[in-house]
Amino acid sequence: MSSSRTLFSIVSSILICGLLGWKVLNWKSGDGSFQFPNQPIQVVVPYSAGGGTDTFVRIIEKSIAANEKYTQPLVILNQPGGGSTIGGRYVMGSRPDGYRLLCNNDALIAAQLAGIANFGYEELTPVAQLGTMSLVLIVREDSPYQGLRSLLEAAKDNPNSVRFGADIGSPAYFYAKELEETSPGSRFNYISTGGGQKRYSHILGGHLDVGIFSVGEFVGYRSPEGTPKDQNIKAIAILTAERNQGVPEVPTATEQGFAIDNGNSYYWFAPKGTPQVAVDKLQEILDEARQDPTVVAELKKLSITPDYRVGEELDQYLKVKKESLKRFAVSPPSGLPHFPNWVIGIVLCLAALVFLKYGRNRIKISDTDYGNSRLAILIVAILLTYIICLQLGVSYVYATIPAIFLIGINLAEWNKQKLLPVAQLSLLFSLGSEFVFTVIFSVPLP
Amino acid sequence: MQEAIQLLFTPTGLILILLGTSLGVFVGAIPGLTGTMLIALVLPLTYGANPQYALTLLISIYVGAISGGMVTATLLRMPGTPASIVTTFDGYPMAQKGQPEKALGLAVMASFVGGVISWGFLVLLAKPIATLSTKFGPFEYFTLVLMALVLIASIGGKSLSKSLLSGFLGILLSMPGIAAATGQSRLTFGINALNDGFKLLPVLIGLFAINQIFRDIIDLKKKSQTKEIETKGLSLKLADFRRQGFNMIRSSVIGTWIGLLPGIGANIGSVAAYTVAKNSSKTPEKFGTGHDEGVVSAEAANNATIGGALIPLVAMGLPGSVVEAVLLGALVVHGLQPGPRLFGEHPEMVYTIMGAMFLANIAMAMIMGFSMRWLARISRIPSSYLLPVILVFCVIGSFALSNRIFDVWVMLAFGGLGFFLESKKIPLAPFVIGFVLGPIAEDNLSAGLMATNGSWLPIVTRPISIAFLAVSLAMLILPMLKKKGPGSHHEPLVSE
Repeated sequence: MSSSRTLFSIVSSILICGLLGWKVLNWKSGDGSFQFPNQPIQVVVPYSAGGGTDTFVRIIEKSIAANEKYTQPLVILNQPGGGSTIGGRYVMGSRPDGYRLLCNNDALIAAQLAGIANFGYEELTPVAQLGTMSLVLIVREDSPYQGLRSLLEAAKDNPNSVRFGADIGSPAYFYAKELEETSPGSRFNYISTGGGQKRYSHILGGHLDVGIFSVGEFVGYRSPEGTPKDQNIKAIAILTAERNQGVPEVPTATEQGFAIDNGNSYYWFAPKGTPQVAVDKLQEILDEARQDPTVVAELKKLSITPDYRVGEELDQYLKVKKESLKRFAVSPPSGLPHFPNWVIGIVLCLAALVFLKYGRNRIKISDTDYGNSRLAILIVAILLTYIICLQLGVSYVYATIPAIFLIGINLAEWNKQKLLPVAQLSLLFSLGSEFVFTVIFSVPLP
Repeated sequence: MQEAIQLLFTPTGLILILLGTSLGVFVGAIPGLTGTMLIALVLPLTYGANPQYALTLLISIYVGAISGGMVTATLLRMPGTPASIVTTFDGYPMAQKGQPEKALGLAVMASFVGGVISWGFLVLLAKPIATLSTKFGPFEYFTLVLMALVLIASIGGKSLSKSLLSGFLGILLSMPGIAAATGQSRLTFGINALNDGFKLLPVLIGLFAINQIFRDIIDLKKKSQTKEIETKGLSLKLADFRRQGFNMIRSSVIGTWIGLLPGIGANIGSVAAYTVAKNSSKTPEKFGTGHDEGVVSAEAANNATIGGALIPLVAMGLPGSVVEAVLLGALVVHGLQPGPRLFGEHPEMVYTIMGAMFLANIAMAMIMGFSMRWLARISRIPSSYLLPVILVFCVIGSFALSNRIFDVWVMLAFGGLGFFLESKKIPLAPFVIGFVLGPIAEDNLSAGLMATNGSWLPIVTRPISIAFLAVSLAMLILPMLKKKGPGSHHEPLVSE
């Protein structure tokens, strides 16, 4: 037994030395130049990995990584949630040095107008607009609405009877409002169903009459021809000025007599106050990436138009976009109960019931438990200190080594024989996990 | 399908299956560490990986972890995971009688058969159910989720009121953030970081991992009084296989169907199969004394719940248990929305999930066969090495989700909440299921009410919806009527 323990000790020592060497080398080999960029550029994607925006950014990221001219890669950080406000706010509060960017679409503008976000693009430095998704109106193939005219007439004759799948406050909601406007008096009944997938199943199941999808989504969701009509979808109009090469059979809204030209664009933002030198360089990098033939091909596959705007033109574009959406009031749905109040009420009732039934049998803590509770409290304290250190920006390894050592040695009750193994463990694990996470998995650490 | 099979049989695919299953078995065998915890901690590692590989690894861990618990359950009477609580009833006495090899052999065989039978159901049923589910509108989804919530509350604990309280507390804590229906933020108390509410992963790591670690620390000195038994491996006789055939199939089918019900996990599956095996046995008095039928029914059923629970997850995006909730999170993180579209759009994912489950079962049986002797020892790893490492993993795992320390604080807070609730003997499973299913119920109800302009009538006029509603009401009222009926003695078993 003791020989295997010695062996373990030797192996872990060798590993620790190796990792220490890696750390020292890494520390020395930092790019010494003062030219921007001399470290990786983080791009915050305020959606989950695998979504539309994420896929788009990853195409650009691959092109930049393959370009030998730029030694510094893009690193993608997914910060989903809150209608894209979590990621947006994170970039807004970051250091304006050009090393942290935000990539978002019209959702940023829509969120502000709908009151979901209390900040807008004005609080950020626009770097570039690159790429626009074309949008289509989708119905089930056997739907009574086979064109834009019949759809809007129905919405006019019977306001609120056409069930329109658009989350309230999302870009799609605003585009639908624009559609309403072209035919005065028409009103859709907006229904929030969540993402494209869910909207798709609701349309197939006949629970929604119509929804807005990007051309890329439509092409992906559409079943092959010959599928029964009640199990397939159909695009009745594309909301751009011209027909799309990917789906040439879909007529434009303008052709059908409703002048609409809209699309959901992708934007790149930096925090407010980012130096112009850095913004210029970022624009150069993005401009080069969008001309890369592989990027062009990939974007074509997703039916994303590779349009590009910077500087004055971009500011104007954002302004027009915001103004055009601003005129629509966001009306919250009526007839919904106040769910939180109901749930709070039920929880309070149940808590009272449980307290009345079981409140008297208190659990007694015996003396032996007390000693170990103190150990538990001590370890909670160490853990809290550790997390506070990480929050204050202490680097991962320097915070983790003492944390593991202190927790381990306290659990071992300061047993002298365990001092060395616990110390080895703390070094091995801290350095090892940093190596594994940053080099192998490229997951950012605290 | 070919693509998925080819991917699984690449060296990387096979290594991931072996690695995942061994990790699962290993962690499952350590009392106090559960598969849920391991999957929650491994998930952040897979963010950058190919989603097919990520799911392969996670499913293998799942299969391994449910099986791994049998080792310590049989040898030490410490169920490695809650799924193997019932295995202690007959496995431990059998080992005490000097037949640990036979007990483990039967358990491994039953686990394997249970896994494969439920896999068959998964393959056969997932697609039809997915197609059927497009017929489900918002009201059907709402009443289905309601039924799942009542089901877990009425079966999953000692006291109905405590389970319901836990479930509704879960729903309440899922509410802060931006409401899907209205787009307005609520219950955030002006904290911007709360705009997205509490995320599932930090909540789970807190409730289960942090809570359990501190429970282990407090119990550190309480040495187990049970006698440790050494084993030479496992033994399996063909006669046993034949004799237990019917029992195994029956228990597997029961396990699959219990797994299929949303909200119910492996432990309840094994309780149900054990009870049925006992009631229909010619020698019910032998149960609990080291009877082979008991070991077989418990282990076949707990592994069978995996395939059952994967059906609603893959077909409709409804998680069947706590682990499934994490797997759902994993699919979503990788940009895949389970449901009818998954079959059309990402058939390779569906086949990867199915294939990985099948291969993981084979890997599980092999790993158990070869490393049993060594596995029996791992519960002796000193906690002074194990716990600090797991604590740091909890911090990294919570952080890596969205790269913010806020989630680490959320994890700690929920660790405290979980500790408090369990101290008051309030079960945590309904809490998690409420936390996951609450938003699904609310979104669907909102969508339904928006479509009808506020009318609740369709809930009782649509046939499927009223059927679900009737079942939920019946399950809520029946336990109140019979209060202490037969069968209530095994209720306390269900702890997770």
